[in-house]
Amino acid sequence: MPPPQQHVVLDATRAKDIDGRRVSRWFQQPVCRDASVAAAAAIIGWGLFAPGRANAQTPSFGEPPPVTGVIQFLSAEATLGGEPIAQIGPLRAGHATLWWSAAPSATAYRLRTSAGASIYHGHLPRAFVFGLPDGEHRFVIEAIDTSGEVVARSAKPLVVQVQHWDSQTAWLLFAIGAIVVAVLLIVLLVGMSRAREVAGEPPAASEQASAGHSSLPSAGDHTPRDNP
Amino acid sequence: MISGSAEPILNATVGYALLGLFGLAWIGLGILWGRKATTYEGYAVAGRNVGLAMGAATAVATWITSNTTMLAPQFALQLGIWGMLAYSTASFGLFAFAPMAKRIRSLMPAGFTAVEFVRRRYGRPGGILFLLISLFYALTWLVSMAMAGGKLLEVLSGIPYAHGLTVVMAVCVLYTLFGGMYAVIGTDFIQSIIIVIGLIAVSAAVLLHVDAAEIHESLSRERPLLLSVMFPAAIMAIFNNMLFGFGEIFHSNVWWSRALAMRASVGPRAFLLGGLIWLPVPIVAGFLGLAAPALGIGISQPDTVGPLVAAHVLGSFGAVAVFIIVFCSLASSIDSLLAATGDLLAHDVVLPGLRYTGVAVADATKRTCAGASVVGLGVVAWLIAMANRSDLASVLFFSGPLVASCIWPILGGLYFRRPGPWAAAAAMGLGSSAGLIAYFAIGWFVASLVGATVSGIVFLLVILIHPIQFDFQQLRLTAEPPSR
Repeated sequence: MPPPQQHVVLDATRAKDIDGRRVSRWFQQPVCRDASVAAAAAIIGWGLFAPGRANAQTPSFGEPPPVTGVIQFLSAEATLGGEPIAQIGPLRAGHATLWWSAAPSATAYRLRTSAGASIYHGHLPRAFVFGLPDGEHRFVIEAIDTSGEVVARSAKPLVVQVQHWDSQTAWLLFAIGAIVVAVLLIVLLVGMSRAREVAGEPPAASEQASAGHSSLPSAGDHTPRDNP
Repeated sequence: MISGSAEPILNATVGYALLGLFGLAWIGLGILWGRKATTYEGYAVAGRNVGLAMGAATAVATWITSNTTMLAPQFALQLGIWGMLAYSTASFGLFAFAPMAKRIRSLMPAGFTAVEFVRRRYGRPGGILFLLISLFYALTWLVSMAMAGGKLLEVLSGIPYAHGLTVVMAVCVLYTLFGGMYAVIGTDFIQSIIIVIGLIAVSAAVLLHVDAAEIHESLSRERPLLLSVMFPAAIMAIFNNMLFGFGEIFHSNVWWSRALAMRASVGPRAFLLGGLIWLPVPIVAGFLGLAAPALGIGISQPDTVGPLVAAHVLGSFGAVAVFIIVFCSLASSIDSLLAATGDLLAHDVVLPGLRYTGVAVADATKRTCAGASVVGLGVVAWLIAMANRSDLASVLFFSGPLVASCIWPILGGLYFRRPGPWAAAAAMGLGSSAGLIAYFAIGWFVASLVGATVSGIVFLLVILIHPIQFDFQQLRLTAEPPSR
């Protein structure tokens, strides 16, 4: 597993996400991993005791519960220097590996589609999505701790655009490939046929040569019409 | 839904024990069989006396690489049913190579390498270009398999990447060093039996645990594209993959050294039989990949999905079986590459260099050079693989257009007198360039197709403009003619 991200991103404002649902976002504030416990305590305290903030902790129906951590989708594995991204594509083959920043207290991650279906639940901060049809697909990621609680969530869904190659191009290349392979097989068959016709490749000659390592071809082994 | 995660599916102690057991067995057999390799010819081409059973087994074992167990399921996930079929078309290369093996054996009864053929057939410039392509392909294949070994053993048993990689490479280098082609073909025979029986057992067990109708229904509902015959990228990949396979087999010294090691009458039947045995393997492995969504297995690394599915369904038995299959498939391919590429380095790089400097090259010197090349190649591959850069493995795909551009020069050079040095060099150079451009402009799934097509057109045009009348007797001489 890659080392956890050194910073988490917090956002305490509330806004609509790309799906149009209201979600709780905590204002952007980078804190070091070592200070994350203190930051989380302060935020919880603020949420519990500040006037007018209590409702923010009890989401209405359909809203995901608020969490302290925000995960960012990355362009590549964090250890390879992946940068935060909001969308990828257009993908021409309908598959991609999605990467995201590790959340310090997470023991697992869950990748969901915008429809809510879980398509990955695992320990690594990456998932392979495949078989995607043409169109725009949105994915959200949740970080889960040992007790199964969601401790961090992607601030915005990752938008994956898929636009497959058009059928015309695909079938054109298929046809070219079929022609090339057909020509190759015809050439091979013609070559084999002509090689059989000439007296240039008696199996016995090769056996003899390999056994005795004659540096000269045998008398019957050479013919000007040796091959086409 | 569970994941293809960092949690190992086999105890590391069991993993080390299996590595130790099989590693010692291969090294012991290598030393035992190596006693026969008293001459360079014995070491490089097993005395040119390999029979049908050993010949077919070594073709199967060499072609079932770690890529077969890792990439075939990945192809199925990426390209669906077409992807499985596209991968299995790599066996067509073995079918096509079957008659060519007879021709190679007949034309070069005392030959050793594919580069030697190209150098004698097309002269030094074409030979050098072909040598570079061969070395690039061999090294990238070797590095990708070494990395796959470290990665798979880590995923399966928790053995650290560096440890798994080092053990696999050390075992393969040692038994190849001691036994040469005798050890490679002998261990391939045992490894192919283990791999084929293991795959049949694992697949049968998975089918008993998983309802095929359920898998189909899951794919139809959630990922219908994977079942579609109109999947554009998959349609493009079919012939591209087939041509990649043709290019790999036609040009690679791994296959030429086997053709030269088999008895003259054995080669065609051995490669045909090997291809028939290999054909269903990617389909079986691909099926494991397609079963993942129905089993609720989320995927983080698509190339490890096959082993994970088997281990998930079959528990400890599956994990142990997969571990053994993977180790055998890794060893059977790495040893072949080490032996064939070591011979290529010794025969076509080191020995000509020694002769050029006036050093007398005795048979013992040749054998020493071949052994040193095996060790050197193993060390270089190990050093590169230790960097564990994920982008390194993908470099193997760069070689697709390069090897595909060698198809026509090899085929034409073996059977026809008219192709000359210019036709071969232009076909390889322009075909490789066009294929690489297509790789970056469009994608890997057209690179080999473009490389082979452009190479074929260029080859034909240059033959028409500048034909020669090659005398095939030059290939039968044991002493090389003066370079043109």
